Amino acid sequence: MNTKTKILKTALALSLGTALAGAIPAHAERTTTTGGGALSTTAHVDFSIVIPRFLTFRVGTASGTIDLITFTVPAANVGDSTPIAGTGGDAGAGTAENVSVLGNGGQVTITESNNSAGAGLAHATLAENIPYTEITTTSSDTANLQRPVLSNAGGNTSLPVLNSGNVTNRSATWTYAYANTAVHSAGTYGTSAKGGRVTYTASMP
Amino acid sequence: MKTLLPLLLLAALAASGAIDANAATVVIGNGGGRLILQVGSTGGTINKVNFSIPGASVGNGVAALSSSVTPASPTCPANTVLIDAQARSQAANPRTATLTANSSTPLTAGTFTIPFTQVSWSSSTPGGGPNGCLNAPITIPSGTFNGSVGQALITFNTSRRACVCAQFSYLNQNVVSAGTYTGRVTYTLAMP
Repeated sequence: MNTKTKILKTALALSLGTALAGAIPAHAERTTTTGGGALSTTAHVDFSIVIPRFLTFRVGTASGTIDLITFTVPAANVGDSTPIAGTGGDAGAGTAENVSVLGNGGQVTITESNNSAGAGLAHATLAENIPYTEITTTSSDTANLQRPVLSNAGGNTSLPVLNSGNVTNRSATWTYAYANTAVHSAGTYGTSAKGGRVTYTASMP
Repeated sequence: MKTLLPLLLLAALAASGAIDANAATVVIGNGGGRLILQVGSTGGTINKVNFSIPGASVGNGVAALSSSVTPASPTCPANTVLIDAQARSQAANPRTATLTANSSTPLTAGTFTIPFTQVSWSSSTPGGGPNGCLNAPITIPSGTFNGSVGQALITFNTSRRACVCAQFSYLNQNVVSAGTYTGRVTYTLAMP
């Protein structure tokens, strides 16, 4: 009987112990409250969202093609200061480029440069150039996404206005025109091979 | 000790061969009300749901599942959080328990914020196991935090159990400033 009692007590202890271990595990966010009146108990979950820095910038056709804006001056208007609209852009019936900048790391700076080594758009065969100051750019959103003024030396900048926090999400069209303020020799100036490629660089601190 | 005496007596009689162990009777004492609320898994820390958004996907409107939940739950599938609410009352006094969530304080990264309305969850009922939601628990419906102090998640009668494994998602509907945003949701189980 003593042996049976010891076995029985041991079995019960093991059984109850196992049952209790299963019913009340050591959970930090397991809370229990008891009582006869109104009861309330709480538990928590923490959340963490990691948002990385990114910057997306588009000028012109989004597919990766570099657009070629061409200004064709009628012979009767050469040098008469009549602005000449461009063709070849992806907006404004070819006169303009779609521009968008999207980033989340602070103030974005757009800087213009070109491949003319400071000389401007070169004539195809002659030693004559048209300065970049003859190509004007007008933004459709001068308040929020201004364009940098083109120059032979490059380095002009514009600062898109932050939307909120460190987020910039702006879009506009930039319309190009040839100012046509001087008489130049007949011919084709620029193209990418003759200093006619402008590069816009968007940067974020 | 008083509770154990009948059990000991029954067990002793069974061991002596006086009673065949073909049936069992379980007597549940008619004690006071009781609430049990468990959110998360074992361990000494509050569970943390982590999201990591690729740079190319920030704000593109494609919801992102949580990348991990730490510490992992032994009951629920990986990357999910156990939410287990149990309510008990006296037999003669059935009551109603309500589980609510307080998501009113947004996630923050310095001065930047993301509202909890950008976080949703999908519920699935976990299987068995020592802490599993046994006995056909009530499923807490899937949903999205509403950013309020007391968003009702489910209401159920006492002597029931509402229990799910919750998979959280970041809705990713807005371009937000870079940073690591952290925040806390408080679940409250109440029985008036």
